[in-house]
Amino acid sequence: MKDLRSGRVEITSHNHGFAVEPDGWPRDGNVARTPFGRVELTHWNLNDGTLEGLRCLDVPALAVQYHPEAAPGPHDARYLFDEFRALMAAA
Amino acid sequence: MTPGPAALLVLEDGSAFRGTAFGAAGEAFGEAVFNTGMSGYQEVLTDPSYAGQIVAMTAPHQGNYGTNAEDPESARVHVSGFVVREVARRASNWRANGSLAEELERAGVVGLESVDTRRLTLSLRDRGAMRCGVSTVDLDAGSLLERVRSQPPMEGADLAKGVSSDEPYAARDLVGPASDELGAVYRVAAYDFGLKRNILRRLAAAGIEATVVPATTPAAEVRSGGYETPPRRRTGSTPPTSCSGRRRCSGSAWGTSCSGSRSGGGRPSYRSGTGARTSP
Repeated sequence: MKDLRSGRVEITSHNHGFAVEPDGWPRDGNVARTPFGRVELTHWNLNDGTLEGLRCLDVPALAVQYHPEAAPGPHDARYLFDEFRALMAAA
Repeated sequence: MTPGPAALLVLEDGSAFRGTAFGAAGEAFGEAVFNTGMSGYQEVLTDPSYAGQIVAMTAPHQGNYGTNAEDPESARVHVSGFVVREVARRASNWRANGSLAEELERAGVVGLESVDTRRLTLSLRDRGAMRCGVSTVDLDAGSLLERVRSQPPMEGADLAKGVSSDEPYAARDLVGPASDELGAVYRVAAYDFGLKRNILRRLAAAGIEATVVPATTPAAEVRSGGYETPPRRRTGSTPPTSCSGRRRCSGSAWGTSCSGSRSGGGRPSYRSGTGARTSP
């Protein structure tokens, strides 16, 4: 999984058989225009090319589809909990 | 340790794996998936996102440190079946209070061992998750395959409803109070679409006090703050809320945090009034 904002590749725990289909949204680079406002596509799965995470730019919301909480699994994505906190602090 | 009775696993593409039974006897159907962890089997068993799935552990040796009271990620075992290459003959760890086989038996979940789970993993990796059946009673691959193919697919299954908590509860009752080391403690509602305890632990570590609410809770109920304010310090940005008195609840809900079910979600990140949704 790659975080496009930092360029960091993270090993994460996954369990999903469905994925968000971003191709239907008009896009300018990594920012898509959706019915929920502008959405930045932030995380991509490097193995199968699916969208793994996004962040709304017009409302305070972020989402990922894997398990940042691990247990079991790598702790690479733990920073997302701090991002969530920062989102509330800024809102 | 004498091997258990014969058992059979069949994938919907017709491939069959024979092994021996451990855990509960019986039969189960579900979607076959794999997990490559060398440890963490107790977390896997109790991870609600595995509901409706038969999990094959790729790493060949499982159960060596037994099971304990601290590692469950939810209140019960959620996997439909559990498949391993080899179960440790003896559980050995200072925290252990049971064995993997006992855990499955207690939960009524069929376990298979002596299955080449690395071959099974490669097959699932190449062909994708497949419907699957495991049985200790029907050892005829053709007959089991027929029933595997008659199972409903995962698409459209409302899994969240089956794994969600029935009642709201305060995360602190389960994982302790949120850390105040970062300054303000924020309060959120966490929608339980298959919430793992470590989500609550990570939120608490980030200074976020969560009230977990059932998957079917209307957003309006969360937004109206219908949860009792716990008798503790006020936090910077969240006003106290009143309790509707309709439900046992502690902890207040402003902002929504959600943890989702298998198809996508994420950690919700809305503040009062907005909804968020995420899905690990």
